[in-house]
Amino acid sequence: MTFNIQRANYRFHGGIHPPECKALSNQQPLMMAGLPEQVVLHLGQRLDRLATPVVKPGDRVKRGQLLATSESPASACVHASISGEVLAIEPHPLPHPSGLSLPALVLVSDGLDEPEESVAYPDWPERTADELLPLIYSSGLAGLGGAVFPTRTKLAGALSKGIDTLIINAAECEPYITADDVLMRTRPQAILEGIGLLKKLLQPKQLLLGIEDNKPEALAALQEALPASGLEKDLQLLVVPTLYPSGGEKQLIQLLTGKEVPSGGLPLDLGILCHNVGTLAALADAVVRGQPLIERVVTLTGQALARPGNFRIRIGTPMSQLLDEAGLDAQKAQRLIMGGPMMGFTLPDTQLPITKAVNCLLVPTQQELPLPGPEQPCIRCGRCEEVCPAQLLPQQLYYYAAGQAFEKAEDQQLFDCIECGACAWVCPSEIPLVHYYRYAKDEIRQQRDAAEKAEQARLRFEARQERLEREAAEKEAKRKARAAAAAQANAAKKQAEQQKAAASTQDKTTSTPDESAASQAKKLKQLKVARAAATVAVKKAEKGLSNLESSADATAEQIQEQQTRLQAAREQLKIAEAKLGEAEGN
Amino acid sequence: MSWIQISSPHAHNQVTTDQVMRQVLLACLPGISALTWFFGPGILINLLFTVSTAVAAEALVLRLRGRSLGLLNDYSAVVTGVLIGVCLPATAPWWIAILGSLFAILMGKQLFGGLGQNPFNPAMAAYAFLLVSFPLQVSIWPFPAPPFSGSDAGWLNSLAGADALTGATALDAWRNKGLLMADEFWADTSRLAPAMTQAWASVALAWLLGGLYLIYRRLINWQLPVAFLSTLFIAGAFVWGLDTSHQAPPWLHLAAGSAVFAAFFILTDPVSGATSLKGKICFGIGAGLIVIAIRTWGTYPDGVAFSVLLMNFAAPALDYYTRPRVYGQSRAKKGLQSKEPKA
Repeated sequence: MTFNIQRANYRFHGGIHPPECKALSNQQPLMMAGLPEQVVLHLGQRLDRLATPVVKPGDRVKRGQLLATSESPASACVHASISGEVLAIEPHPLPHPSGLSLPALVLVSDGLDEPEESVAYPDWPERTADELLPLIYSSGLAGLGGAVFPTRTKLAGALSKGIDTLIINAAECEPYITADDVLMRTRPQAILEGIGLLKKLLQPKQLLLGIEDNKPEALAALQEALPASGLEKDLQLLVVPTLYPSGGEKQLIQLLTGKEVPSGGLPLDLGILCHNVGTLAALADAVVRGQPLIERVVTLTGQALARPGNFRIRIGTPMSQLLDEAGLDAQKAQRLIMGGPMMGFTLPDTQLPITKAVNCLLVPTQQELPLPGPEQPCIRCGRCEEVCPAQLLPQQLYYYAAGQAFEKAEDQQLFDCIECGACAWVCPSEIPLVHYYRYAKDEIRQQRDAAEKAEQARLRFEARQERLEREAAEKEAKRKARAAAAAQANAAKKQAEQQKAAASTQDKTTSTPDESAASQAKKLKQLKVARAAATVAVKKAEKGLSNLESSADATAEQIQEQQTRLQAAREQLKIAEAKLGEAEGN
Repeated sequence: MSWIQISSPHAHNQVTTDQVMRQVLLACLPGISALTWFFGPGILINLLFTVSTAVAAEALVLRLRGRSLGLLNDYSAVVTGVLIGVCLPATAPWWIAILGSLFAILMGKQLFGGLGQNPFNPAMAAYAFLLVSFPLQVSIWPFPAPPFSGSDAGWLNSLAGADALTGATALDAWRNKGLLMADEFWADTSRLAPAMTQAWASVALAWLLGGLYLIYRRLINWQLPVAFLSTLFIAGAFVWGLDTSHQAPPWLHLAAGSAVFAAFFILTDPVSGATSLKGKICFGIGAGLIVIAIRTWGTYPDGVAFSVLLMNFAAPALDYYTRPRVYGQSRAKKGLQSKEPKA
């Protein structure tokens, strides 16, 4: 069966070997954390992407019951992780560097842990995609590697674009974290079921699982479970060297396929979909066992914990409860890190809930992870460049970021930095390089936002100017048209009066021919004046039209209007000429 | 309880700048020992002067700039002092050592803002300054006289009061050979004693040993010294091939003068050199070509200091043209085109 296991053929640039410290937490079997008395379930990770609650305070809920749903594919559904009562829907701080508070459902446990009736497809290989997908989409799945990107969004994208390669990320390169390692040792069949499900739905040409060579037990467990899963022929287990950050999505793709995700693009652009093993196990739980995402494996580790290890933890459990369970020694503890020592971030207090994004809580002592010393000058030694997995020049990025030359920093491809921290780890001057890059990225984003706002303001102002000018021009045109119409009306009135007068005089002409001849001449003169007025009106209308046509601002309606005006004036002229001809003919 | 809030990464490999500098000092020991063995304790006296002056000057400037004197702990001033000291002849007067050190720290380094800011290699700037201002004092080396060698007691004699003999170094002698043919030159041991050539070759080997240690400790990469030395050899061989009877043979370029020392300890100075690997290789090749040009057609016998300074000038341009291709980019960016047309 060893033919499934191979060494990965490719490598990525740089990388580091920080002390792994994984033995601290992976020597114990996967444990169940105690049932929490209260859970806090956030409606989302971002203010603009929140799920809509379908329960209200006071409602009784069962474990696994849908609490909040979302039409938008960018946010995941929320399910009850315990049975009990909805206490409130109120803002709670997120375990996130921003410290942002977002609306969350607070549930109080009734201690029964009563499950909700749910749909499950243990016979999933016989089911169609139309049956499976709604279940997957409504199960609240999100990437459990730490980014918590909603799985349904990723899956929908892969379904619409189609993929060649499914990559399963089992590298787990961050020091200390062993959640995936222990999950693979404990539940390899669930992971393989998840892989089978995605294979059925997406029909990729190849299935690659990338795992670092420091997890022989996990690899053996997967290999042992492989025959029963029916994936023996399809799934390739690729062993990659233990080298941080091999588990970064871009780096793993490069290690396994030799391809690079284009800058600013997605793995999907290469026909690749990448999923973490934890997500796949959760996917299998959702489909095969009908259990939505209400728990996850979290590593509790660090030398300030008396009983470190990996725990299956209900989403929403307060961290303080877990740290107590793991035997936190508050005297020894020096900081609380969510995630690993390379990319994790410090949390302000232990009262925060476990979210879908928490894969590790690290509580080191001062000796274990000493605080950084004072920042010294950069001597451009180039060690950072040697280890950068994106092959950037970190020393140049630092130089430009610190000097606020953001354009130059961007030119050095600042935005291709994945913030893995390898550069800062090796820096002999202890410069917090990643901190500088985050700062520069933030500044650039803010500048972009400001520039965009300024551009919008400019467009708005120009549109207003144009509108004002157009309105003024319309007003002027209307005024002129009115004047022309009035002149015509006057002329017509006069003509009518004259005709009347002429008619009355004509009656008299029989008696007084001299008088009639005089009135005839007068009438002719009047008709000529009327014709001249009509000609002027036509010319005016013509000129107005050509003005409008040559001006860029004129709307189609304006031109139309002016054309009708011209038409009317021409008809008037015709009438006037006809009358004049008639009168002259007499 | 309150928890500390700091930015990732939280781990560090615990290698610090002062450790790097101390390793460099350690790597200088074989070279210093070889120089002292062949040319006497004058080398050590020079070092005493250069290092103490460099540290004092650094302390003075830090004080003037209102910086913490704790910055002295980075050992960079000590390294600068040592690098100047080993360039000076054992018989150089004491004030040469002091002047060189002062120039290196004050003009070469601190005027630009201290550690990490100097565009030129401070030691080479100082050496070039001394070479231009006091050519005699910095180019006359004592005749190599290792202790216990032959019948007399070597330089131990000079400690007893005897005047040390001086002799031309190989490159100096070669420069001044005039119209002599190569074979005539080698035959005339009064121009260049074989002992002189052997001593310098041994010193070069000692520096090579220190350099290998630096590579082993991954403090410098191997590509830059290799690029420099192989350019020296290949370009030297080419020039020699044009006129074998008048040009120096290529091995002389490597064995004599400061080529090996510079390859591992001077060109690899990260602050004033090119930054990317490709840039470093270009830096080494460029420096090698300039050294050969100066040695072949110039008036200075060695030329390493000038070639390093010239390449320091070129380093920022090299940095612009030798950027690596970043992950996910279709090709490497080159030159100064800073803005892409925005859609």
